Amino acid sequence: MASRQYATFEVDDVLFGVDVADVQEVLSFPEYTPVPLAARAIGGLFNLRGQVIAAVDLRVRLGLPQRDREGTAMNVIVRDGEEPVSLLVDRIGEVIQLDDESSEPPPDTLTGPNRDLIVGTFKLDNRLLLALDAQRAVSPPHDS
Amino acid sequence: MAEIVEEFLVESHENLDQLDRDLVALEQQPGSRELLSSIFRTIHTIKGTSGFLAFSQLEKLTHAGESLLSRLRDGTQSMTPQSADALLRMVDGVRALLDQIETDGTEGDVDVEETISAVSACIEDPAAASAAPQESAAAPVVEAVAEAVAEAVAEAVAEAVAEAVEPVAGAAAEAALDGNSSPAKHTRKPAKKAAPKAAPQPGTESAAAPAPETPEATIPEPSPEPVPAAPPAQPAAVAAGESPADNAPAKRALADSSIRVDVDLLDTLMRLVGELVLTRNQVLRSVLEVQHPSLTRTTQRLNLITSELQESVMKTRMQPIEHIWSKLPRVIRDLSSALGKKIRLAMVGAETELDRSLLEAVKDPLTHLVRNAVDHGIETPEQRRAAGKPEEGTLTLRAYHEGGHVVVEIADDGAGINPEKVAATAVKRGLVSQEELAKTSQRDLVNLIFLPGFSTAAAVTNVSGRGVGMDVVKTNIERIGGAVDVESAVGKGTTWRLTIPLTLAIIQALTVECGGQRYVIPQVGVHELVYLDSQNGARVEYVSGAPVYRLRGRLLPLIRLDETLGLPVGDGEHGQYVAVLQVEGRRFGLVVDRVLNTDEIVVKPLSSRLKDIGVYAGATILGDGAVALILDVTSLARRAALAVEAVQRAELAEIKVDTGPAQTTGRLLITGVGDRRIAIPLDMVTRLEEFAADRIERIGSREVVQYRGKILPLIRLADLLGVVPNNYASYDMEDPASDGAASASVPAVVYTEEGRSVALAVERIEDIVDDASGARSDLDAAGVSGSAVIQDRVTELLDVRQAILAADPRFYAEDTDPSAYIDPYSDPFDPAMAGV
Repeated sequence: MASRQYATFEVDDVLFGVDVADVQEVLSFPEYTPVPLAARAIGGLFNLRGQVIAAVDLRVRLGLPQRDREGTAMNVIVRDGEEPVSLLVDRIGEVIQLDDESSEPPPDTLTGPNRDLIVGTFKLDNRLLLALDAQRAVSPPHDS
Repeated sequence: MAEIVEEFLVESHENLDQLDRDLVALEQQPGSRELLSSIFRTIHTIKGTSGFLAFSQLEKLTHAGESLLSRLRDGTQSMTPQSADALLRMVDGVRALLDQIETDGTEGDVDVEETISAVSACIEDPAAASAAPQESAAAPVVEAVAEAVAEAVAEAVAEAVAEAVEPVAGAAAEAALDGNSSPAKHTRKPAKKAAPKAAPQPGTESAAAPAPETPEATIPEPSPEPVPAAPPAQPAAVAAGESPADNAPAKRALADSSIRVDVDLLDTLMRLVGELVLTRNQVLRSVLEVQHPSLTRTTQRLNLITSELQESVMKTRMQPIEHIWSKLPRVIRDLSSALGKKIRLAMVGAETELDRSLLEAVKDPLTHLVRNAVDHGIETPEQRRAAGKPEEGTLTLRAYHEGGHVVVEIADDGAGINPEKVAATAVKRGLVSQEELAKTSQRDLVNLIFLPGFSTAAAVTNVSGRGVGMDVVKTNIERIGGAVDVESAVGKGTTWRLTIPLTLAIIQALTVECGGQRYVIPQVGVHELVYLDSQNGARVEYVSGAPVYRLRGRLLPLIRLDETLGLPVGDGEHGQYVAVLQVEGRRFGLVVDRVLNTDEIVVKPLSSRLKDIGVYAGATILGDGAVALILDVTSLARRAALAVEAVQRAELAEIKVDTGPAQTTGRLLITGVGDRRIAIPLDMVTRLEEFAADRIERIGSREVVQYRGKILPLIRLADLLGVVPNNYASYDMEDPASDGAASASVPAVVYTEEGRSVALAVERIEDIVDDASGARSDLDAAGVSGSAVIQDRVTELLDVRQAILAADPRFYAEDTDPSAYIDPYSDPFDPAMAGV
């Protein structure tokens, strides 16, 4: 039975997961250089071992207000083609193994900007996990 | 795709570039057997390999070319323009096939029949054309070896003997044949000895090699004993490539000592070295604080090694400019024959090296300028004859290093650019107004050609003028931190000069602060820095809503960085800085909160998510590890364009309104010369200095001082104004230097513009006052533009322009040294430079 591992994290108390194969690394970083005039979802730039990485504020992508620009945030770094991009999240969870078959399509009631980011839902023991399309989440947001 | 095919493609593309050059060169020397042999071998190699890899179309095409070439080489028929065209078409066909193979691994449906028949048509003896295929198809490999060897031996022997017996060539032959410096009389002997030995043992390197080499080349060990012959079964390609008759430039021989490296790998290396440089900078800073002797020593070594490493890695990315020049002979040949022009191409400094990425960026502008020179620059033979010039025009490409830059010149001896015509066109297109023209110097008129929307082509030809104007050339060159400049003399020709930085990856940059964040401005665009001291009256004014600043009497349009970036606009209460920038011929000031420092930075690519914004040219990592955005000055300039236009209109209006000396409003510096009070507009004061009298030296009749590593012309206002020096009168009790001992030091006003400075020596600096513009009179004397009552005393207003010209007659000449591009006196930490 096909199964895969998901790296999980929380945004606004909702549990999300992305395929670990998409994840380069997870780290916390204290300071981001704001990019004036950039799309609202761009949370800033930071220096990852000499590479300049753009951080995408997942809150904005999910239709929530921007996160506070001050203070440390957790980064889930995913690769978009050759370029690493960071997703800013609230908390990092564990890596869990899930069967593909236990995935259900996102509920029809799920609408709004996050609808196209969610590729499926998993019923865990005590809560739901929304599987996120990492590529789409970091792709250039259309608001500006 | 199979590796062998890939290798074949890479090799063939290189060969084809060589082929293009050879074919064009061949037209100049139609009889050159060396060139013909070289071309033949290249085609033959491609043919051999394509047969082996079963690319039948390619094989057929190259075979046709080979048949024609072999006849040309053997002298059975001679080179004609038709055959040259046919051969070039064949090369194009080969290239098309190779491209097709590269795309999908097959020959696709590229049609070669037409080219083949065109080539075959050039063969004067049709029998030979049809006979050849079977012969060579049968055994291409054997044939190649046999041919190469036969050719090699024949030429080697002939040339070796010829050289040896020719008395003049004696020394050369000696150098070639005998590594150690034996006397000239021995020369004949080894040459003759070598020649007969070569004959029975074809293909031996030692016997044949010396012959084709140019005399300058030194063969380290031409052993008198021939080494064993290479096995005859060697592949055709190898035999052909190594055959001694190969007259290709020495570069090819170098191929053995070099390896191919993936560009990505070099980029990674470059990135890592950039990181290392930054880390080193951090270490250096920390070590300074610790002050540990052995640590300091080690760090110095680290410093040195890092710098060397950085330099070496940068070198690995360097390529001779020849790489992009090599395509030009063909371009020029095709163009000039299409236009019926005769053009000779000269290349100087083809070995000048440039960073790979820059080379790519320069390629298109360069090609455009060359096409333009052929199309518009050089006249037709008839026109040239009428103008008393040789029918053949000359296009010279020249590359050289100059002050950390590479300069590439494209010079033609054509008709030149007529500034009047340029001006007329610019007005017709509505790019400038008549008033603006009146202010423009002859030299600047030519530069109007760089304005967007300008195209001199009377008719749009298919050669140039396809909507890609000079402004695109300029933009592209400026994007990589370079500059374009044109110089033209009517009837004599035009020279385009591209000034290009050595590398893109590491640049000098100015770090500024705005809205609490740091931003980086590439230093190339920064002319000077001005401190706006809010306490001191230096202020921002508004012209039809656009902010401006009076910089030495001229209105400088301003852009507020905070506003441009959509940040909260600061109040400038604690003073602000203006970085005076110049791009695309526009001069404007960028208002920032603070200027931090200038440093080398490593340019990092911007995330693809941010490219659309357009205000940023990239990002960089600062010394403390934080990321800062690099501002795209060109795009800021465009954003500023509207403001700039408003200011230009205002400036014109102002010039119309206030004529005469009254435009020296603002603050005045009062100086004393003799017993006269001379006022100098504060705008015209860059610095106040005090020069020791014994530091004033002379050049001819002029006085100069050494000032910040430069020679600064100095004029004494006393001389200029005809004042008897009043050193002894001494009513100025505050300045003991001015009484007695013939003043040990001389106070002077230094004025700097566009990198040129002059010093106006006065006797006293008295005061700085607001120009109350009270009672004014136009009573004037020599060197003075009027007078006014200031502080209850009659004060004369200095005619500053005249004074400056008296000190340095070339001060306003337009040909200022481009190396003095950045105002050497701009010192971000010295507010004095702006406000005194």
